[in-house]
Amino acid sequence: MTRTIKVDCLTRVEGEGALTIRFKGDTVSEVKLRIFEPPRFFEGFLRGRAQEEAPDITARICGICPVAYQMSACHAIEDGAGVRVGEALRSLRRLLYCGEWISSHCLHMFMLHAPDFLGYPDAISMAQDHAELVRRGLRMKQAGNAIMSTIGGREVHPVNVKPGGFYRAPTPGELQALLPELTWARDAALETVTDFSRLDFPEFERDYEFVALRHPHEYPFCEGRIVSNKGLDIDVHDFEHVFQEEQVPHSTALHSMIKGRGAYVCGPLARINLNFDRLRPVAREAAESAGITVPCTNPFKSILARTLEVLQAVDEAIEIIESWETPDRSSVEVPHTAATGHGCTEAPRGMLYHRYQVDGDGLIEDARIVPPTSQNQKSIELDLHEIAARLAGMPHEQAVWLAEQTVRNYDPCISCATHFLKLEIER
Amino acid sequence: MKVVQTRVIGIGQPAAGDDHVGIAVARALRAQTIPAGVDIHEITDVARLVDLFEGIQRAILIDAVVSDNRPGNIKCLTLEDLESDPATPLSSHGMSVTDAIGFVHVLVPAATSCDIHIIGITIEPPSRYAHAMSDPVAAAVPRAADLINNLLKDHETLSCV
Repeated sequence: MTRTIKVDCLTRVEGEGALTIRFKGDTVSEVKLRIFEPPRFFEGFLRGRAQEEAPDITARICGICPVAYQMSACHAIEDGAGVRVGEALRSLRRLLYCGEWISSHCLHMFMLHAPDFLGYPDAISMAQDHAELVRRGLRMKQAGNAIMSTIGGREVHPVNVKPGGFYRAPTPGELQALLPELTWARDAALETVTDFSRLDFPEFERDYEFVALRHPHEYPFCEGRIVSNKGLDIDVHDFEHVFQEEQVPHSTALHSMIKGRGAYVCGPLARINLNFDRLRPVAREAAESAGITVPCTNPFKSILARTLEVLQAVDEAIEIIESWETPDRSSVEVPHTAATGHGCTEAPRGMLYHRYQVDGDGLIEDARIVPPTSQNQKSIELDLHEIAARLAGMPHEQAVWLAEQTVRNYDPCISCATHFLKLEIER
Repeated sequence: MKVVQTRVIGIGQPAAGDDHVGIAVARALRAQTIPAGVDIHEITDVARLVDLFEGIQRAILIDAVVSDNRPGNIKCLTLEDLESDPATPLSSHGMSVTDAIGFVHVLVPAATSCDIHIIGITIEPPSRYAHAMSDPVAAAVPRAADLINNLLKDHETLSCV
């Protein structure tokens, strides 16, 4: 018997795609997360542009994580030129990234993912019964936006970032004005860790290879080696020796895999699993109080990882602001050098890799960008494959709900990856 | 304490061509003499509307719209107009004005009786980077500011050009 279940629109993710699950009898024969949003050719039109333009051009790939694109671009350009920024500018970059993590994670946690767990079709419906929770989420998001606006000049697509640092560094007074809301946000994040730890999580475990940056002392943002829970430990320069992207007929987004091993997962759940010991004490203690432990191989618990990362980012932002002294120079010079540079930073959704080949005039000859959703796409399909047997036995509406929730565990940005989900279950 | 009865809210993205127009109108209005009981805000993220609807009786939202009209056309919209458009579902990239007002009506119950005017200024669909506004959209800024100020002074029904 053949039964088809269709969902015309997967809401609460970004981009356009469709999902097909085929069964032979009771057995799942195929799962395809089909992404048909057209490719965007950013790598192509970076060619011939000045290296100074890379952060602002690539930031336009995404409206929710432009800072990640700017940071990976800057680090890659600086890597090729053999430049490192000083401690103050490095801290300012981390602070800007804190703002993006807070804003992006809060939008997903409170507005997009929490309704799945609390049984609402959307956040507006959820707000009728959980007004305080939604208000808290909106206010926490604003605290992150305010950081980006103060440092970056505006909340979306900041305009103050360049290779070598910033066009202008903020004054202590400008940053200290952010402290009251951030102090409130730290308490709100602590409360949220407790609240979300009490959610009802579907039973689901898989043997993942988690991949993330790891820094000797800090929770990763912009620097570190690329490590996994299965023994991977490489320099960022070796990214393309280890990871490969493959074209699949059903998707305009490339699937990234570890050569010889297959799918892997990056993002908050991977970071928490690989860097729990690098969390700030307040985040680690909150996790322990709420019973959040690692290893955690239930992707539905990614909402907890995001919550801890918001607490981490708010706490670090406060520390950076309290000790901030405006440096004499807001940037260091980045010479034009014929070279290839690599950069990998931790976007809210996971590792974001950039490589640029630049000529002696500082013009980009070749560019490569690997966004986190491309890296997670294969794992999303494998999760769906694993959970499909449960979907088969469910009424249509319930099956669609669980399939969508499974995709949303990854907070996918399909637009970033190339780039609605029609769910068809054929039996 | 200053009592705010009417709040004018310009929505837009700074330094982003015609998408800046909502903010530009708010700034132009701020340069004019406006009646007591009115304040003016500029926002980029419409999630801020929830806080801005607290304690007011009337809100005037100004935003760029893409429509069949010529760029620079000023159109007075109602909530029903917005709801009749196919709204983008709340996505990881943010929320629409319709979504934000949906939150307002749930989270700020008093706002359900708030008089809401939406001033939409037509722009071309953004297709390339531009820092400054285009001529027809820039020309609409003083007209929109005057129109709103007349509304604020006369408390009359808004009639758009």
